[in-house]
Amino acid sequence: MTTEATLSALTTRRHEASSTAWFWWKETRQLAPLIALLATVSLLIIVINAILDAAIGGQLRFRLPHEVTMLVFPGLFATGAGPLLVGQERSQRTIDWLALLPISSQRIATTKLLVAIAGLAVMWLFALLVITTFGLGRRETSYWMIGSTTGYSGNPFSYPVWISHSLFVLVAGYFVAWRIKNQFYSLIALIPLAFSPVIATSLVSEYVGRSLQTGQLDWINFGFTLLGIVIVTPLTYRAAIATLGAADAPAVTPLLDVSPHSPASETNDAIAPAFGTQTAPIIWQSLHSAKGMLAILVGMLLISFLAAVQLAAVDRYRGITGLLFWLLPLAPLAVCWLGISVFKHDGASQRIRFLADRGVSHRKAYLALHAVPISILSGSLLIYGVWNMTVVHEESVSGFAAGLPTVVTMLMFAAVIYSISQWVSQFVRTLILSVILAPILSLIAAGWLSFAYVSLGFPILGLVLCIAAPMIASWSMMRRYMDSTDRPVTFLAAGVVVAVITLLPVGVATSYVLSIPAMHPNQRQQLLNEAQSAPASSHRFVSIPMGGFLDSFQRLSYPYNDPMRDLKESLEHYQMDPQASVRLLKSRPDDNFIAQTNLYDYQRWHGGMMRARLRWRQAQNDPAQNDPAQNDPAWAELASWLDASGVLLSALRRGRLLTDQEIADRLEVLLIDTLRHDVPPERDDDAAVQMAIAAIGTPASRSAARRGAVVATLQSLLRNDKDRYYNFRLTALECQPEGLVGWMEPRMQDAFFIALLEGIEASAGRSEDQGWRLKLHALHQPGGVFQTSRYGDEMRSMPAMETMTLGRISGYGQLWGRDWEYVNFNHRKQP
Amino acid sequence: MSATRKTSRDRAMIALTLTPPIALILFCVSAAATWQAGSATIRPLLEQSFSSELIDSPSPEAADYAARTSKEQTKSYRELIAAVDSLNYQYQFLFDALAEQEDLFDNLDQEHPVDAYIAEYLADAAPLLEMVRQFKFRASAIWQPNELGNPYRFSNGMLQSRGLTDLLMVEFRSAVRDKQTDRAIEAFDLFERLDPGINASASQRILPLVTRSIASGIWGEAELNQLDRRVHGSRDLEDIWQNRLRGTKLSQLPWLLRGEVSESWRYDAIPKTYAPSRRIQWLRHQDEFSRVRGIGTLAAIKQVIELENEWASQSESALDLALQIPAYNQHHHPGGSTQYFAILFAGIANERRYARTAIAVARYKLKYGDDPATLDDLSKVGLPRSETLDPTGHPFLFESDEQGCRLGNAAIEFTDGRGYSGLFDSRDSTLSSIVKQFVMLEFR
Repeated sequence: MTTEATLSALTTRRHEASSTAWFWWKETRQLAPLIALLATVSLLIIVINAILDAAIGGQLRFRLPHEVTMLVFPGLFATGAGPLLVGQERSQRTIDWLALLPISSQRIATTKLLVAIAGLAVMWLFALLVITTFGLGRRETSYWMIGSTTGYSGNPFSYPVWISHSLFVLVAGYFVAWRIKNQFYSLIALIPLAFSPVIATSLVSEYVGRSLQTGQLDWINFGFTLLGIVIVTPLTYRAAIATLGAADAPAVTPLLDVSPHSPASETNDAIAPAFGTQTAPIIWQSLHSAKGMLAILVGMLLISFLAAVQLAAVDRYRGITGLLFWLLPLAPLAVCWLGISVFKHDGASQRIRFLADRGVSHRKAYLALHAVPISILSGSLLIYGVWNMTVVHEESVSGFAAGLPTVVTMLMFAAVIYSISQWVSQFVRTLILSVILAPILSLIAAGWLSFAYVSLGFPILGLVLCIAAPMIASWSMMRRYMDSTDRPVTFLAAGVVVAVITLLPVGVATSYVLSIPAMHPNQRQQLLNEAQSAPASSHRFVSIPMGGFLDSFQRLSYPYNDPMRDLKESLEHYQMDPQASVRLLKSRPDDNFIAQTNLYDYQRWHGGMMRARLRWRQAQNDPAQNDPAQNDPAWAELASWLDASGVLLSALRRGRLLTDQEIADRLEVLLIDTLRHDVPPERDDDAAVQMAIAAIGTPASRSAARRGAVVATLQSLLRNDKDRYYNFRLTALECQPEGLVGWMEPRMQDAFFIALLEGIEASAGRSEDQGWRLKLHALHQPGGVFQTSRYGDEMRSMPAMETMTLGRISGYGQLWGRDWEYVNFNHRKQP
Repeated sequence: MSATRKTSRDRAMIALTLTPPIALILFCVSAAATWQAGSATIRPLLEQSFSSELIDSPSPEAADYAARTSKEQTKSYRELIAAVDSLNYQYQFLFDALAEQEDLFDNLDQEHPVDAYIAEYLADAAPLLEMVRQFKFRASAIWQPNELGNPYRFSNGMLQSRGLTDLLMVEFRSAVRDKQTDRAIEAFDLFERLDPGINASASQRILPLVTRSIASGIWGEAELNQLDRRVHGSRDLEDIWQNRLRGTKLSQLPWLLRGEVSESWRYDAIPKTYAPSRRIQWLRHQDEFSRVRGIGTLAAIKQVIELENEWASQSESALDLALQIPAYNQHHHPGGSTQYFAILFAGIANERRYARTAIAVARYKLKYGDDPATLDDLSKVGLPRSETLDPTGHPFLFESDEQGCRLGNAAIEFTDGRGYSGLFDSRDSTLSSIVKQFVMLEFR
């Protein structure tokens, strides 16, 4: 009696509500991997965006707006819920078990749908909450950029459209999952169905003829979406009921003529073809069981190829031809799905178990599973290669054809996509999740590896290693996969793959950057101390107008200016008087000014002095001038130049910029040449000549001055990193991989300073050491030939006057340590 | 149970799957073999034009330049150029004023406001001109310290090396206005010896000035003969054309032999490789250009345009292109536009013919005391008929009446209504592209 009471109590307590709760909980739990996937994907997008912003800062012209990371949640959820909750269950046959439960099929269908709708609502709330809290949707910060196209996504009306569209996609997902048994086909069918409101909207706008405003398009889209939901929901319901109910009895076919169908032949025909080896049947089975899917994938490749053929045949893209561009991405998508089809196709898990039970070695199974997709890929690449041999790759024939990538480039991309996809399909349990994850991951991997190749100088061998890593990972996991014991080791393997792909390019780039020796911190500190204690650091700068005063005459470039008037005025304003230029320096000789000037002006001074020298030579050779009087005008002019140059040289030598020292070098070369060739010994007692001779330095004094400039430049560099005017330009940076320039710049600057210091020492000691010259040449003239440059022995053996650059500096230190430095004027000095 | 007996079905299955990958590998291997074979043929092709030592030297361009020049006058030239540059900077507005003057030789007796400045300029430049006369600079004796083989080559360090040519042109103008013909001839001579380069801009060529001066009637018979000899003996255009192509090839030797191009990421971010067939194609194109005959005629221009159009619609279909990275069409077209040079040379040839025709008219006038009635009359002073033709093959526009005679530098007074279109479809546009501007000389 107690038992009866207990039983009745149990019976009464068991009511519909508990089974509902349990059912809801079961469905929700099934959604867990999808949520985890969505979290991973949005995290990936955030990380990628952050890395791109931080490391490259806008050089990579691809950027997604921040709200995309949030919209991933509802968007991908809507796509994945139906196939996950229904499709997966159908392929694993658990739907049959569900149908056997004492729950009505209406309840099952409705609950599944309601769970998904509730989940979608939660996703939307979460996304919108994050977006509004962090203000992600603002127009100023929320923009996307792909290549040269930029767009804004700040249309507030779009959100209701997106919400309703996601609902439609959810319901459509359920519809295809219930209707079509094969998961792959259902996903294929989902794509056009999901886009149907958009397609309908564009058809309407085409029909209307004129382009509609965004607001109107949104309304039309909204309308079609609601229409879609209204139509598809009852169809879904009906399909669900049909699937969950009893299957129809097979149709009765009338009795055929029996004679050709003997029992023996019937039995024989029913047997699958016999093979001798183990590999061949696996291959046959791959082809046979996935005929439809492979046909679709090959079809996608073919369509994409034909679109490319058509685009390469025409010059202009009008009308329908412009739409062909949208067909091109079908090829990488097909490659990705081929990769997924290796381990995830209809009945894949049963197949693997079957093979494992038959004792097929995991190596054979791996090769046999990859055989068909790889041969399809190779075949398409081969066709692409052969087709390209018939195409004219010239801009004038077809811009598209001119930009076609080569077979080896396509091979690399296809290999990356395939490799990542097949690894994802082994690693992820369900088809729908791998279908969502694989394209995203292969896109990220392909983007990252091409960035590494283009901007980080990653070698081809490294690319091959990165492509091989996922293949090796799936190979090594094959045995465990066949035994279904791959978790959790497969996560370890996944970690290794991710590490290889992300860290190998970084590692190679780092070792490349580190291969340039940097200055030791001690040495840098020493140099900074030296700069700090330099006496010249307290001197004042004064700008010397070496170029004459023509620059004060502002010539406005009006086309209607009277050239004669300009000519007259310019000649009145121009003054190339060396004494006038150095007046300030001469008037206060004790103040130790530092002269500031530039190379363009130096060239004017050089030319002016040359004119004086030539006039002096003519005067000397002029037979009419018998009496070389001390105050003849030609000599007076040359003397004034000598005097001014002497004064200027001393002031320039105190300069704290590298360019100042280079100008001082050139002025000194000019002065020495003048003193040696144009100043006769008779004139040595002239005050101007003595001023010039006194200004000529010694190798030691020059080396001290140069060193002062080098350490001062180093100090200013370290003091203010943001100021881009460093008074020197390292051309070598322009020939390094673009992404590494920022990292290499400090090290190359260090190498530059080290080479300069070595050069200063070598020229002070008159050493023949070539090392510093080779280094400077590599920094200033990358890729050039050392022997024919100004750092090479050939040009250095010529007199400096004949080879030095006047108007620009093509490299620092080209004048150091050459013969002019060791000329001695002591014998010409007057006491 | 691993059965080892292969049935035909097994073989068929395995063959079906293995064939595409093996075919792809074969494709790539044969592409690589083609690449190697192509690389090996480049050097023999180059050795047809250059010696082995030249190809092997660290910078073939520099070695070739050093072999063609000497350092004899380098020092003096550099000194002179620095001084001239400084002088020209002071008088920079003089050159602007002169450039706008079209009528400088029209009336030699009339004072021109710019004359005073020219005199001032030349007075300041006297020592420099003296130096030029003393040294008689010639291009082959001036080795410039260009760092050939390095980036930014032609960095001889001088900002402006056209100072000397500007000076000589002003000297020539002044000599003509002063009616000092020997001074003028000397200036012309010194200018030509400098060989300022055929692709120097039009303003740097002295020949148009000389031609304009002929109409002023200052030249005597002997001087006109001298001028004619000089113009007739100018550097052969064919020679300059071949030299230019040779120089381009030399400068591209590293690319041709090894596929090396040192490119800055500012211009081209993606590292590129160049297949041998592309390099050989470029070499062949250069050889085709060097086989163009009749440099300086319209036919040569048309041939060059035809060749370029033909090549723009074709491309190599060699196997090794499949191994290029990243695309089939890699832009690397060194050497500048050959079409531009063909047009330039035709313009120069026309100028030379025009000068000789003008000289012949002046000689006729001196010899017979009267204007020639037509251009055919010039055969009496020894001018072949071919020298009186414009680029389109028609005789220069020549009008002779009581007021005097006038000679144009083309058969018609051409205008290109579309501006300088660079096309050759009509006579006007052809003449405008080649001759650039119609000039009419009035003989006094």
